[in-house]
Amino acid sequence: MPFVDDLIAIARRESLRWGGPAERLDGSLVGFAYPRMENKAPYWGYVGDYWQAVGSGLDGRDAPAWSAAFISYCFKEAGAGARFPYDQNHSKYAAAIGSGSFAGLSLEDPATTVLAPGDLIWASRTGDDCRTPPATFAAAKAELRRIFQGRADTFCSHSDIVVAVRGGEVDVIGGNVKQAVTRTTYKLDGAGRISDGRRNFIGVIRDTLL
Amino acid sequence: MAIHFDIVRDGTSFSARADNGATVPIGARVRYHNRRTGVDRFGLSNDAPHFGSAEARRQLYRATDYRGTHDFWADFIEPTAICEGQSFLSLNTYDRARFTFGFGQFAAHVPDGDFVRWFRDMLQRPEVVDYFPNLEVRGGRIVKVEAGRAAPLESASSTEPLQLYLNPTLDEVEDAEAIAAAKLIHWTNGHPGARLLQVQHMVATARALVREADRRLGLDGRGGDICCVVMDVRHQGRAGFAELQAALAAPRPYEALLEVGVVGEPGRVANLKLAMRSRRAALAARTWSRAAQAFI
Repeated sequence: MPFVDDLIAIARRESLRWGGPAERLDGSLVGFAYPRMENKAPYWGYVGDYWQAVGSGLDGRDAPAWSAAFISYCFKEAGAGARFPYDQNHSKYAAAIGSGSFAGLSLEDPATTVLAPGDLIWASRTGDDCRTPPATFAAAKAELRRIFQGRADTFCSHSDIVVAVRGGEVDVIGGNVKQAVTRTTYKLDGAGRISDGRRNFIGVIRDTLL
Repeated sequence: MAIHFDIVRDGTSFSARADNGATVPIGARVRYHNRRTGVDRFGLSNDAPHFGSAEARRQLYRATDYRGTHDFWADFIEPTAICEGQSFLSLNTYDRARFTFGFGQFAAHVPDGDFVRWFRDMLQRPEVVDYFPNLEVRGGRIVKVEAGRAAPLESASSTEPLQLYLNPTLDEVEDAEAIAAAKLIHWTNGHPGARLLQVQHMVATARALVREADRRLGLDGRGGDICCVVMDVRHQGRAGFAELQAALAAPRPYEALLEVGVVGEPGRVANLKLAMRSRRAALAARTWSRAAQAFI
């Protein structure tokens, strides 16, 4: 089975472990057992599993954002081994991928990239203790170069795994989305590129790992 | 970091200076006389007759700009957008909604309504720290965070705290009201993603209205032109399903639908007729399918 199929299977498995919470295309929420599922058992325990994927001792009852740990967990469980730069910060692993050091993974412009299952869609975000994130792909690439060279701090962002693409819509699964592992449906344009105003997308990580 | 807005009043015109930089036109103070209660209310508006600059008209919704993403729906919402002023920056703060924004006239008084749903998504965008750093979405609801405590601004039954946050009273134009308006105008003007989000929400609203009308009126197989007029009537709320049902049963349903609500809203109906004139044929090219829940 190709790697992307394994990755998607893992993401779907995790979504099911959380009971399949979802944000539909119209923004409506379904399947959330609690407003903040991450604080409840057994869900915080699952978050603890994700932290282990990045070598953290956190057990899931902690404050840090865990969405990058979730991505790392999915790649590790899918068997990426040393082919993915595991990190608890999206901009750190994106910087490593953007440097060209990881064959089968590349950083692409969301404005020109037709999404495919297994890709990561990457968006900037803000939050407590976050510096101003880059707003465009070009700015993000420049920031990633500086981060990779150790000349800049990381910034806050978020990635989801593309699990299905159909006419005008894409389903993605991500961690720490509405305090759960959430499947979100986003809008695509007619060519299959992300075109949804709910987030500010600054990159696509194309995944062609075998 | 949060952008600081200074309010500039010039007679009845309001504008704001963002971080001591360029001036952002907001709108004019207007009086709204409620014929039923006899009470005068005051607020801001940037609708064409009141607006002193071309700012609102600089950011018009045009179907062609969004057809690539929303296909037929981009055209379907255009007549209603035109009737609502067509501007992404459209603002009024004088009626019972207390705060209405955008080319879909999203109104803040309806729990879980179009404004609330759109604003929740705006608050997820990264620019939020520039505009509303003390607002967040927690547990799916908008909250105001102060000194580490979160105060809910909306619930399933009320948006009153959100209304008061955006527009403290209808007795006068307050700074809080002008600043909230300036923030949304500046944000929408400067970020294409914010405009895309507005379109997305208007499409979602139109979709929901068509589905509801289909359940109540039976629109399966009806042309997009018919459905568009039905949606516009429901969006504005100028008539109920009984009147729409009667119009749909008329020998010439399209023409009959265009007359629905004409007594109470003659201006709106005239605008809709004008907007539909050049668009009807394209809208009629597709029909609503209940099975597909789409125009095919």
